[in-house]
Amino acid sequence: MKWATGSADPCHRAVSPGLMAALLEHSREGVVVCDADGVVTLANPAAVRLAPRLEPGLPLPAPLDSVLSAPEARVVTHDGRQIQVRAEELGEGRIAWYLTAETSRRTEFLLEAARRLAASLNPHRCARAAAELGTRFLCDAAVVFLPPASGRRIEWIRVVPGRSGPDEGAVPAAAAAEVPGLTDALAGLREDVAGRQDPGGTPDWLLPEGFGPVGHLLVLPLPGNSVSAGALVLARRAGRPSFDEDDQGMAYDLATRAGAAISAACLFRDQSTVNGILTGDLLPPDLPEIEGMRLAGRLRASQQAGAIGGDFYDVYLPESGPVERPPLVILGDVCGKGARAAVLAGQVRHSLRTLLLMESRPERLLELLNRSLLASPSPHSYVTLILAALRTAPGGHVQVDLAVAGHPPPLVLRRDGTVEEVAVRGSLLGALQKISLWPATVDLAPGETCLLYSDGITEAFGGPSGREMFGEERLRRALASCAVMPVDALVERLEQLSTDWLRGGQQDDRALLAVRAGRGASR
Amino acid sequence: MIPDLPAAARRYLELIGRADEEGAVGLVVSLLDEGVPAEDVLLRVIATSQRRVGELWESDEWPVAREHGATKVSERAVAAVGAHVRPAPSRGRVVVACADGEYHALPAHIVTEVLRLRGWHADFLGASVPGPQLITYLHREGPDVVALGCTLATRLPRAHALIAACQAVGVPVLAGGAGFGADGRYARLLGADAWAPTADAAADRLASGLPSFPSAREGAARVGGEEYVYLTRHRAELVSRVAATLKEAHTPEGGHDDDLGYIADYLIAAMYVHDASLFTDYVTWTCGVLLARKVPAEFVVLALSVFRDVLNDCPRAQALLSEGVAAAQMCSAARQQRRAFDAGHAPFSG
Amino acid sequence: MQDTPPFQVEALVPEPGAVRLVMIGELDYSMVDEASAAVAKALAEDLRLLELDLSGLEFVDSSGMAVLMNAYTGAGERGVAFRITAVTPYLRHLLEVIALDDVLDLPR
Ligand code: B12
Repeated sequence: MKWATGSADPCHRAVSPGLMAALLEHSREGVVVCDADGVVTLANPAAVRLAPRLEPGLPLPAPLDSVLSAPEARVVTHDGRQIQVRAEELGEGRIAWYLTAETSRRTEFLLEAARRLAASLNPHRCARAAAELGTRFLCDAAVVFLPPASGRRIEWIRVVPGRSGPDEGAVPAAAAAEVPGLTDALAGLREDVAGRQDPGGTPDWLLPEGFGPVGHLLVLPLPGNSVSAGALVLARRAGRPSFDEDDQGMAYDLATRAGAAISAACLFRDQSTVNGILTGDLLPPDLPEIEGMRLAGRLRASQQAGAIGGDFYDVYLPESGPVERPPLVILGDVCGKGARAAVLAGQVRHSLRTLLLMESRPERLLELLNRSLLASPSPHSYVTLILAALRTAPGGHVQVDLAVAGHPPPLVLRRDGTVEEVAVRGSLLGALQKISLWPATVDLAPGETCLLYSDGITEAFGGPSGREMFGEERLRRALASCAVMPVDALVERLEQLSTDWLRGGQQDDRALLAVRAGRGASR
Repeated sequence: MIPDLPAAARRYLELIGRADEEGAVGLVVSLLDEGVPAEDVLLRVIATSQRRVGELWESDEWPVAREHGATKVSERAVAAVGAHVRPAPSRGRVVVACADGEYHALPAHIVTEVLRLRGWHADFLGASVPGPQLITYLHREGPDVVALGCTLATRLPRAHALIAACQAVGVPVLAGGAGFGADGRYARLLGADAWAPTADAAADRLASGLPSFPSAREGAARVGGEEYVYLTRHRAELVSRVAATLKEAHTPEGGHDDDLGYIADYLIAAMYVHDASLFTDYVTWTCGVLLARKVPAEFVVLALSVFRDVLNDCPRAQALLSEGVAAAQMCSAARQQRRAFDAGHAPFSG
Repeated sequence: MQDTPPFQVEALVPEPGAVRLVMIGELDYSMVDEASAAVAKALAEDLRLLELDLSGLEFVDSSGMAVLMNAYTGAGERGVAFRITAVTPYLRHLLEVIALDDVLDLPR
C-alpha cells in the first residue's frame, strides 16, 4: 500500500477516522471486528448483507465464531448462505473476520443465464447466448438448432471456445436426423428423457474439424410456447468426465430457459415482421433526380409504442401511358394511429398510383380519391394531402401546381430569404360527399424552395416549458434562416431544429419534403 | 506513381468549397482508380478536408452556408466511395448509429464505410437515432455490436441512455466520435464496452474481438446529480434570464442568443460527466469562434458571470462557471498580449 | 409539473332530444376511445340535435380530429342535426386548415 510521503506519521495523516469509515462503508468485502470477549465492535454494510444476524454489541453469531485465524479462508454456511470467511488477529485479543459470498457454480449459472437469456428478443442472439452458456458451464461444444422460420432447412449456431466467434449454418431435416435424438428433440418429444445420447453416432458436420472424438453427448429439446423452440446439443471430448446428475440438471435448466427466450423472440420476430410489412407502406421512397430541380425529404416516425402514425410522402414520375403529365409529389397524413393508419396510408398511395394512369389534374385526383375513401369498406378513413405537380419553365423556373386537402399549406422560401405561405386550401378527404378546393400555382425562380410539411412539425410539443408548440411562426423563421443552403441541408436543419425543440420529448410523425428550382448546389 | 494525398486533399477542399459535386466525386473516383486505398480516400482526403472546413468556419473565412454546401458534397463523395469499392461482408454484423439529437451524420457514415471496407456487414441508421428505434432494430436484426457515434459532448446524456439500453438487450457498444473526449474518457465513464479514436482504430478494435455480451457492471456510473437535473429542467428559463440581464446591462457587442443556449448545454454536459475541462475547453473554443466574428472574449466573461449570479443555489455549477470565467479571461488576456505585441512590432513590419 | 387536465368529456341535455358533449383538455390518440364512446352513446339515443362544446379543448391530434369528424358524419347518417357551439381559436384554425369551417357553420 502507498501512503502520501513527507509526513512523520503517514498512516494517521492519510487515514482519518472519516476516511476509514468511508473505506469500510464502500468495501465489497465484509469486515467484522470483535473484541477479546468475542463481542462484535464493528460490522460494515457488506458484512451485514452477508450475515444479517451480525450486530455490533452482540456476540459473534455461529458459525463465524468457530473460524480460527488462519491465512486461508474457510467456507461456512450462515442462514443457508455459503460464505467464505478468513479470520485475522489484530492484537490485544481483537480479531477481524473478512467475509465474501461463496457462489456455487449453480448459482453463478442461474444468475448468468437469467442475465443473458432475458436480454434479447432476437432468436439468433438468444441461441448464441444459450450456446455460450453451455460451453461456459457444461461442455466443450454447444450447438443450438432453431426450427425453420421459413423453408425447410434447420438453422444451427455452434460455439466452441477458442474459435473466433460462433459458427452458423443450416442443414436439411434429413441431415439433422443423423444426430442421435435430434429429430425427437426438435419435435419437442422426449422431454422426460435426460437427454444422454450415444456419442459414437455423432456425424462429422456437427463439430468443427480438429475437435477430436466426442466422449459424451446430451441432446435436449428447447420447450417453447407449446411448440418446440428448437434443440440443444452439448458435447464433451473423449476422456472428459461424463455428464453427472448435477450437469444434467443444469443442462435441463439451460434448455428450459433458452426455450422460453427463443420462443418469445420468435413471437416478437413474427409480430414485427407483420408490423414491418404494414409500415413498409409508410417508408418514404428514395427521391429521384428530376431535371431542372432538386428534391429533399425527411420522414421521422413517431416513437410512441404502437403508435405507428400515418405521415407519408411519395413521388410519381411521368410514365409512358395515355395521360401525359409532369412529375408529381404528394405529402399526406392519415388521421389516426397504429396498424389501421398504416394500411390506410398504403391504400392512398396505391390508389393514387392507379388513378394517375387516367387522370393528371390535381383537383380531379383529389375528388376521385375522396370518393374512393368514402366508398372504402373501413369507415372513418380521413386523410389530409398535398398534391404538387412540378413543371419546369423557362429560365430555370419551376411551376408548382398545388392542390391541398385539409393539410397545412406549403411554405415558399424566396431568394431574398422571405417566407410566404401559399394561399391554397381545401377540405379533408373522406368526410364530405362534396369537397371544396382552392388550388394555386407557385412560381419558383432558380434557388427558391417550396416546402411541404406535416403537422407533426408544427405541433411538436417542447421548447422552454416543455409544453409549448413549435408552431407555424417558428417554422417560418427557421425556414428563413436556411436561405442559401443546399436543399437537403435545409430539410435536415429543419428536422434538427424540431428535434431540438422536442428536447427528447415524445414525438409524433414528422414529414418534410422540399422542392428547389434549379440544379445548382445553393446559389 | 503514388498520388500525393495532401495535395489531393487540398484540391478536394477547393472543390467542395465551391459545392462542385461532380468535381469532388470525380476526384475521389479517380483517386480510387489510381490505386489509392479507399480507406485513405475516406480518412486522409474527405475526413481531413471536413475538419479543415470546420476550421475555416471557425475563423469566419467560410460562411455557414458554404460549410453546409461542402458537407453535402462530402456526403455524396463518401457514398460514391462506398458504391465504387465494396467487398462482400466476411465478418460479423455491426450497426452504426448517431446518438439521439446528434446530427453529425457524416463522421459516422465514414466509419460505416471503413468498416465495410474491412469486411464487416455494417448498417448505418443515420443521424439522431431515438432509443426505441435502435432497440427495435437490435431485436429484429440481431447485430453483434452497436457502434455509437457522438460528435457533440452535449449529447452525452442521451448517448449514455442509448449505451445502457443497448447493453440491457445484450449487445455490446463501441463508442466513437469527438463527443466522447479525445482520449475516450466519457466512453469509459458511461460504460461503453470499447472506444476508438478514429475509424481505422474502430475497425482494428472490432477485429481484436469484443465480448459477445456486455460485461456486468458494478453499480451505476456516477453521473448527473441534483444540480444536473435542476439545470436540465430549467435550462430555458435560465437562458432567457441570462439573456434579459445581459440586455439590461447593455452589453455593447453581444454574441447571439444561441451562444447562451450552447453555454448552458455544455455546462449541463460538464455537470453530467463531472468534468470541468469539458466546459472550459468549450469556453476557450467559443471565445476563439466569437473573436473571429469580432465579439471580444469579454462578452463570454460577462455572460458566464451572469450565469453564475443567476445560479446562486447551485454551488457545483457556480464552481464550473468560475473555471469558465477564468478560461475566458485567459483568452482575453492572450488576445491583449498579442495586440500589444502586434502594436509594438507594427513599425517594423511596415 | 403536468398542470393541463387530462381529457374529459361530459354529456349534458340542454333540452329534450338534444345532447351537448362538453370536451375539455387534450384529445390525442390515447384518449380517442373515451371520446368515441361518448359520441357513440349520444348517437345511440333518440336524438334530434348533437352539439359539441369544444371551448375547453386545448389540443387535438389527427386521431382526435377523426373523432370529431365521426361525430359529424355519424350525425349526418342518422339525420341528426350537428352543431359546434363553441371553439377555441386554435381549433378554429385547425378546422379552417381542413376546410370544414364553412360546412360546420362555426360560431362567431
Ligand atoms: C459538417 C459539420 C456539421 C454539419 C453536419 C452534417 C452532417 N451530415 O454530418 C451540421 C451543419 C449539421 C452541423 C451542426 C452543428 N455543429 Co457541426 N460541424 C461540422 C464539421 C465542420 C465537420 C464534421 C465532420 O464531418 N468531420 C469529419 C469527421 C470524419 O471527423 P471526426 O469527427 O474527427 O471523426 C473521426 C473520429 O472522431 C471517429 N469517429 C467519429 N464518429 C465516430 C463514430 C463511431 C461509432 C466511431 C467508432 C468513431 C467515430 O472516426 C472519424 C474518422 O476517423 C465539424 C468540424 C470538425 N472538426 O469535425 C463541426 C463541429 C463538430 N460542429 C460543431 C457545432 C457546435 C455544431 C452545432 C451545435 C452548431 C454550429 N454552431 O454549427 C450544430 C449542432 C447539430 C446537432 N444537433 O447535432 C462544433 C463542435 C464544437 C465542440 N467543441 O463541441 C464543430 C467542431 C464546429 C466546427 N469547428 O465547425 N455541423
